[in-house]
Amino acid sequence: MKTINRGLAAVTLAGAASISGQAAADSVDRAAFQELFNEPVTTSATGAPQRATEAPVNMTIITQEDIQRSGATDIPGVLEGLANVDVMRSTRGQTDVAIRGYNGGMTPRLLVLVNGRQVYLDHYGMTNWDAIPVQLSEIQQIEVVSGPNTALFGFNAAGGVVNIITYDALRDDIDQVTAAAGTNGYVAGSGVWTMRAADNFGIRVSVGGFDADASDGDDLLSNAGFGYGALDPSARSASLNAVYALSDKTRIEAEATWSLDERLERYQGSLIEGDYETSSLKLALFSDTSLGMFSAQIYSNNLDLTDNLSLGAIRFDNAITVASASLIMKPAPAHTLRVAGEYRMNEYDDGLGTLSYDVYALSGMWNWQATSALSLTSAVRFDTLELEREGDTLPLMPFTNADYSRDFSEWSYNLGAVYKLSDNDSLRFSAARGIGSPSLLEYGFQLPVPPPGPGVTAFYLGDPATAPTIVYNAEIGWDHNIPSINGRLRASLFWQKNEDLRMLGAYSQVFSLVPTVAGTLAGNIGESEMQGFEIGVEGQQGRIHWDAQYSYRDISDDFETLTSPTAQANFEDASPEHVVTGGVMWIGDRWEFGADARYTSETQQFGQGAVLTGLSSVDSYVQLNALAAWRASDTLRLELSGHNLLEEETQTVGVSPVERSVVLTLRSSF
Amino acid sequence: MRLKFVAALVAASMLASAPALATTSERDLQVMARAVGFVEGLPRGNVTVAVVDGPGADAIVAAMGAGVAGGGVTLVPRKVAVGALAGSGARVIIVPEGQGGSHAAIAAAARGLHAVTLSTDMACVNSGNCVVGVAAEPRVEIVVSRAASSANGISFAQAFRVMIREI
Repeated sequence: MKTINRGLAAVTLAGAASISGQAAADSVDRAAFQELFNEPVTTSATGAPQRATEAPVNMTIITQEDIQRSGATDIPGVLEGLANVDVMRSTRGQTDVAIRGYNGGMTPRLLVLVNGRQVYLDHYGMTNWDAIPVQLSEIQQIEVVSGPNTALFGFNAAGGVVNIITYDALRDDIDQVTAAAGTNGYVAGSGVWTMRAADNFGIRVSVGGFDADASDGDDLLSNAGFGYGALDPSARSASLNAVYALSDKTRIEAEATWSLDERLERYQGSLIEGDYETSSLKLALFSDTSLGMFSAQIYSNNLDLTDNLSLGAIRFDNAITVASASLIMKPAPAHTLRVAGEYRMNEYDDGLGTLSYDVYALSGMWNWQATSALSLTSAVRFDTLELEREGDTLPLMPFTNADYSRDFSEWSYNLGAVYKLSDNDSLRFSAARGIGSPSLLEYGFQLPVPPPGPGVTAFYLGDPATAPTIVYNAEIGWDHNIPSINGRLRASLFWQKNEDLRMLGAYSQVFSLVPTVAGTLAGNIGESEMQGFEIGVEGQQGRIHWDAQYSYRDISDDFETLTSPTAQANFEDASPEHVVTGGVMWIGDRWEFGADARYTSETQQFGQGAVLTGLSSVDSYVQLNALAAWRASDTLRLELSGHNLLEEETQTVGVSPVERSVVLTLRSSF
Repeated sequence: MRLKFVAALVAASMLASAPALATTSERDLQVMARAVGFVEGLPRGNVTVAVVDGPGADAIVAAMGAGVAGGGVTLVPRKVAVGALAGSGARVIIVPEGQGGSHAAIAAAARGLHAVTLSTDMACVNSGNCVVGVAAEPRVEIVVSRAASSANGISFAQAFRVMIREI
C-alpha cells in the first residue's frame, strides 16, 4: 500500500491541476520538472535543484499519490512505509520519528521542515508531528534524507532530514475537503482552498484537526500512578500561503501558520500533559538573476508550551528568527555553485530570565559534472553559536548568568559522488560530518524539584558546557533500474559514528555541601557507532504496484556511567536490528485495493507498561494495514483504511500499545 | 533487364547495410515541448514550430498531429524547407534526424530568427548547430549547447540550466 515510487508516480491527483506556465523564477516548480524528467526533483540534497536519481545523498521522495495510497492519517504514518524510518508511538498523541534507529522518543536527530522552514522545536530538540500546520492533501511531496545533511540545513540535520514540500499557491490549484471518522473516537477533518486573485497572485488557505480517545495503554500508564490521567489527544491547525509574482523572474512568498495540540507525552519516568501552541510568519523572495537563482527568506517561529507535570506546570516560551540568503550559479557548463549565509536567533524565556543564542553560518556547495557519467559534490558549512543568559536565576542555582556566556564554532561537510555505470545503474558514494546542537533545555533548563532530604535544595538542570553531537556518516549506494518490472532496486551500505551524544537528566551532582545543593544535570553521555545496509525493490505491472524494503542496523553504544537514577540511554538494544516492509496495491479505474505490512525485530525498551524504569523486552511484531478506496467521481473519493489489523493491541517500540483501528475518509475536490 | 536487377540488388544491399535512422518519438516531442516551456521570453500557449523539411520531417509532423502540449506551451508543427527558414518567423525549430548536411544552414537561419533549435540528433548539438538535444529513452536526457544558445540569444530558467547538461 505504501508504494514509494520515485520514478513512476504521476504528477496529478484528483482535484490538483497546474494553473500556470513555468518559465517564472523559482522556488523550483517541482511539478513541471517532474513532468519533464519523468521523476521527482528535489532541493533537499545540495540546495540546488536536482533530479532524484542524481542526488548525492540517500533520499526517498514520497509523492502526493503515495500519500493518498498509504491510507495514513498522519505524516508519521506515511513515513512508516519506509523500512529505514522508525516510528515510535509512545502514547495515542505522541509520535516520534527517527531514521536508522536512535529513536529514544522526542528524538533530536531528525530535522523536520516545511518548505525549508523548520518545524523542529528547538527548546527540547524534537518534533511534535501533530502540531505541524500542514494538511496531508496540500503536500506535494516529502523529501526524506537518510544521514546527516548539516552542510545544507545547519544544526540538527544530524541523523536525517524530512522536508515537507507543499503545493505552490500560484502554480497549483488544490481545493479539497476531507472528513474522517474511525474507531477509538477518531474524528478528523481538513480543508484546502486555493484562490488565484490575479494571474500573478495566488493564495492557499488550509485548516484541519482531529480528536481521538486516549488508548487503553495510556489509561494503563496513568492508572499506574504517574500523576496524570489519560488525555484524549486533539490538534487544530491553520495556514495561509500567498505567492505574488513581481515579474516572470521574481516572486515573493508569504506564509502564516498556527497550530494547537494537546497530548499525553512521556519523558523518561514521567507522563506529561503537553499543551502546544505554535505560530509562524515567513517572507521569502526568489529571483532568477543573470548571476543565478537568488533566494532570501526570513521567518519567525513561536512555541508556547505548557507541560503539566506532577511537580506543577512548566511553561516554555521559545521564539526563533531565521534570516538566510543563497545564490545558486552555474558559471561554467560542468560546474554549479551555491553560496549561502544564515543568521539564527533562538530565545527561550523560562519566566525568570531569557536564555538565547545567535548562530552565524556561511556555507558553500560545488557540484562538478566531471564527465557525462561522474558527478562530484562538495558542500561545507561553518557555524558559530554564541550563547548567553539574561535575567534572574533561582536562589542557590549553581550556575550564574556568566556561566552561560560561551560560544563554539563547528564545521560540517557533505561529500558525494554519483557514477552512472550504465543507463540503468548508478553508484553513489557519500561522506558527511553532521552537527547536533544541544537544545535550549540541555543548555539552560532550571527546574526546582522536590528535595531528596531535609535541608537540601535540588534542581533539574541544563548544563551550558554541553558539547554538540558530531555525527560521521559514510555510505555506498547502488540504484538499478529494472525496465522489465517498470521498477528499480536500491541498495546501500552505511557506517555512522555519533560522538558526544547528549541527554537531559544524565548526571547527579552535589554542587555544594553547605548549603546542600544537588542537581540532576544534562550532559554528553558518550558515543555510539552503527553499521548497516538497506535494500529495496519496487515495481509496477499493469494495475499492480508493489514494493519491498529491508533495513538492517547494528548499533554499539559506548556510554559513560550515567549517575542519575532516572537516566535511560540504550540505543543498541532499543533500536530494532531488522525492519522489513512490503506493500502491494491494485489500482483500477474506480477502485483501489492495497495492503502493506511492517515487521520489526525484538528490542529492549525502557518503561513498558506500568514500569517506567529498567529495560524490558518487546517481542518482534508485524503491523498490517489495508486500504480500499472508491473514486465515485473525478471529485469524490471514499477510503476505508485499517491499521494494525492483526491484533487488537500490539506492543511496539513505544510505551503504550498501538491499537487496531479502522478509519473511513471522504475526500471531495472542487 | 539484368542491369536493372543488379542495380536493384545493389540498392537493396545498400539499404540493408546503412545505419538505421533513429526517429524522433512522440515521447521525444513531449520532452521538447516541456523543455521549450523553460525558454525565457517565448510566448505561452500555441507556438508554431518549424519542422525542417527533409528526411524524417513527415514522420515528426504526423506524430505531432494538431500539436504537442507540455509545460504551458503547445507546439503546432509546420514543415519548412531549409531555404525558407530565415523568412519563416519561427521561434522554435525542430531538426529531424538525418539532416546532418543542413545543420550549418539551419543554425545560420536560427541565429537570425533568435530561435531555439531542438533535435534528437545529438551531433547537431555537439557541433554547436542546435541549441537543445533531447533523448527521452531510456531516461530523459537534455543537452544544451551554450555556444548555440548564446549565438541565438536564447536563455533558460536558471533551475532548468542547473538540472540539464550544458556543453
